[in-house]
Amino acid sequence: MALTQVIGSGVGQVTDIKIGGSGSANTLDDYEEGSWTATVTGSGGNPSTAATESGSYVKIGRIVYCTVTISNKDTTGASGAVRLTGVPFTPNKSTASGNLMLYYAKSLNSTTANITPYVTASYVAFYQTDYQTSTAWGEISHAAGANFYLYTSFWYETDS
Amino acid sequence: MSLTETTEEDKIEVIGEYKCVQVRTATVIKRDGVEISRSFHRHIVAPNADISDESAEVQSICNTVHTQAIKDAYAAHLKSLETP
Repeated sequence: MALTQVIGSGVGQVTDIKIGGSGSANTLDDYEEGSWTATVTGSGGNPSTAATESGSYVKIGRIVYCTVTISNKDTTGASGAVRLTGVPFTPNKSTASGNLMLYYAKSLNSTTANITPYVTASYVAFYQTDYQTSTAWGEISHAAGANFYLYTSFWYETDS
Repeated sequence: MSLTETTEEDKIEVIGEYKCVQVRTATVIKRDGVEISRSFHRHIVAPNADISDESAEVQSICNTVHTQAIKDAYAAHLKSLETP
């Protein structure tokens, strides 16, 4: 792999870096890192007191990689599916990616095999897959109360 | 030596079919007037969002691009996403 072209020169002037070829598929045109604010919501109702946490992101080209560690929140008042809002860039399509770690205040099926973050246009959901039936999948649900912990990382594509 | 910290919305973009407004807020630290640090925080204002806490500039952009037709189209899009 080789750096094949740099378009522009000087700080703030380079717009494209081409690596391993000269086409658009070889172009790195953006890099940014920063923070975003994750807010815990529920499909049937949000926590009475807003549950938010600062996360971090890195954008490399069109890929956005996000992490957030939500610790010891009180989700009293929340109902329905556990969701997060606040991703830093607009997703260009829904994407299942990443992983998560859970603690109290969520309801899982007893036969859940895995859980995957699912990034949509307006929120991040967490889908569980049942290992006993091939048809069962659905979002994890709130068991609202204190001690809500959710550590997650996920990635998605953006056109911005 | 003086240190100052300011925040500014240094990038506001209108993205995609549903005109989501993407806002980048920069926190800038200067020493004696010379920038020594710039960090970013981002959020998105979707067509169905409450914009009352947004800056006047962002509210103005949202009010322009988030027409009722866009809001309706976005609502329909969200409904289509309810299950994968």
